[in-house]
This record gives sequence, C-alpha cells and structure tokens, in this order.
Amino acid sequence: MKEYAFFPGCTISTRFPHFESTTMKVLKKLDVELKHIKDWTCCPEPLSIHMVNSESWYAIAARNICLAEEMGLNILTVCSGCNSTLFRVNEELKKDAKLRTKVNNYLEKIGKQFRGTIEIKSILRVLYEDIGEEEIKKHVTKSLDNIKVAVHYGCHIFDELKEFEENPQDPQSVQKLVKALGAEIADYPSKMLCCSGFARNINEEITFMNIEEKLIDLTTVKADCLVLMCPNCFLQYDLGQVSIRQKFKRIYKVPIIYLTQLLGLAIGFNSQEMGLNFHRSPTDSLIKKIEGIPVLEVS
Amino acid sequence: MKLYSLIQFYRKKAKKSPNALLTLCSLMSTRSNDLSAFIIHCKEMSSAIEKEGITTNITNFTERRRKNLGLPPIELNKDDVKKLPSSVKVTKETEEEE
Repeated sequence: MKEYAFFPGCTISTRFPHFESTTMKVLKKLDVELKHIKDWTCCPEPLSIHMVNSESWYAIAARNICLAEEMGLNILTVCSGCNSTLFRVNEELKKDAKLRTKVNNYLEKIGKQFRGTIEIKSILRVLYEDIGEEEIKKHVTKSLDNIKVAVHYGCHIFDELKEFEENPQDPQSVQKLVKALGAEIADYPSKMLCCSGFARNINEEITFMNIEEKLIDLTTVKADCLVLMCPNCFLQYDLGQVSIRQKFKRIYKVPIIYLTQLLGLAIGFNSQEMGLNFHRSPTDSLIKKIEGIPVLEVS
Repeated sequence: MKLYSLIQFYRKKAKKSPNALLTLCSLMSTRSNDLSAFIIHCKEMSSAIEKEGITTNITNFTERRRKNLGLPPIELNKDDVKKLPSSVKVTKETEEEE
C-alpha cells in the first residue's frame, strides 16, 4: 500500500471538504492511504503573500514541508494552488543552498529544519505516475463510454507538469486518465484559458468574460461535464454559472466535476458518495447519463 | 495600447501559454485602480495567513460538515507562523508601486 502525507489546503478543507473525502475514498480503493498532516497552515497561497513578502512565503511553505518530512512521506496535494507553492518552494530550496540557509535560520526559531527529503505530488501526478492508467482501468466497474468530458488543467498545475508530461505546454495526462475510464474527450478552443479566479475580488468584468467564454465553448461542443483539479477553478465555473445567471440572466448548464469525483463514479461509487449533491452547477444530466436515474439536487 | 486591445492580446496569449494567470495579473497591473485593489487584496490575504494560519473561515458549519463526511477536525498551528518573518513589513518595491 502506498502512503502520502495529505495536504488538503484551506479552500478544500473548509469550502469543499467533499473533494477531500472523495479523494480519500477513491485512493483507498486504489490501495493508497492518506495521512492528514497535523499542525499545518495555509500553504501559503501562491501569489499574494509571495508578492508582499517572499521570505514569509518561503518560510511558511518550508514549515509545511518540514511537517511531512517528519512523517517520512511525500506530500499529496488536492489543490493546484497548494501544489504550486509547495512544489516550487521544495524545488527551489533543494537547489539553492543560500536560500535554504536563510529559510532554515527562520525555521530554527520553531525547532524545524528543511532537509529536502521528500517530493510534492498533485493528485493528478499520483493518479497518472504513481498509480497509472492500466491500474485504474482494472478498477473500472462502470465504463463512462457514453460521456463526453472536457478537461481544464488550470494555471497552477503547470509548475509540476514538467515532471511527468512529455510536452508540458500540451499536457495529456488528464485526457489519458479520462480515457482510461472509458469516456470520450471533448476538445474545445478555450481549453488553456485561465479561470481568472485571482481577479474575482478585483475585477469582475474580466472574471465573467473568461468564465463565459469557456462555458460557451463547452456548450457548443456538447460536453457532458468539465473535469478539473483546482478548487478555485471549480469555484469559478461552478458558482460562476449561478452568478452569471443572476447578474446577466444567461443560463449555462455545464456540470463541473473534480477529477477524483469522475474517477469515483467509474470505479463503483454513486453520485451521493462522490458529493455531487453539493455542487451549484446542475449535475443531474450527468448523473442521469452515468447512473440512469435522476437525482434531486441540494441547493 | 487601449485596454480592450490589451485584454485581447493577453487572452490570445493565455490560450497558448501556461502562464495565463501571470498574464492576467500583468493585465490588471495596467490599470491603476486594479493595481491598488490587487495590492490591498494581497495584503489582506497575507494578514489572514499570519493571524489565523488560513485564508478561509472555519465555521461550526464547516466542522459539522467535515464530521458528517467522516473527516478529521482541522488542526492548524497559528503560533509557529507568528514566529516566522512577517509580510506586514512590506517590501520597498511594493510600496513604490502603490
């Protein structure tokens, strides 16, 4: 059995804990155990604190990495933002001795030391690299062969892609995993477009413009759902559909699904067990296609 | 370059480049109002991390929902973070941009 130190991060642990429980259930079925990291804090978030004071950003991230080093386990992240911070800090501190010394001087005050003994892995990398498509195929009990899935990578995962993608500019890992579940890939023009999550509190105009462009594309190519791995991207496209409906009276019906939710539906879990009832975007069409029965949504 | 042209430029770039988020931030930095809002947002986030150890709220509802889903309570360590370098000391560059 493989083991990882589990780092859910702020957004998933408080706003989308069903992604956390879904990931644990799915990975357990794939013979992977997740051990929660105790005494963690925000990763910290990859842009804001880094721009205000990078030393603080490095030190807080290094402290989180130290907790997993003490457990002797690689970190598994389920948020692409957390992955971006922890992956970048881990790599930079391993390579840059001067920076490592500086950060370790700060960590000394709290009795910790960055040693560089572990790796940071996203849920995507663990599924694709450590478990693999072939192993996942063996667990599929309900092929998603009648489902057309669109993929959204999200900006923050790109830091890590160079570790396991042949061409990180044109990633294929999610598509391969989705195909392993039997589903068809829905290609669409705005696949690489940013969700604009970071602009949400700053400039709504840009946010809605970019969300809608993707929703229009997904509707045009008749995607049954959009699969992603980032809670902030999820928030943008899931809650974003509600905001656009309220603000502009334009209606989109694109189910937004977290990667492990889709995987779970294919390996024997039902939609309730995968927490699809917590979504704001309408998931009934997808559930009906997969399970063959309509399910009432919780608003 | 007008703002609309800039938006189009960055959006085209974002479709080809993984650094879409960074280009978007660059775009925002072209408008002084957005830049100020961006910096204020960064400071608020940094302050929350250093005070609470987390950027989101842990409410009773959150805890109940986690329990219902069979998840452990959130165990943070705010004290350690307070002993690390603080972002309250804003860098010179950021102040100049403001």
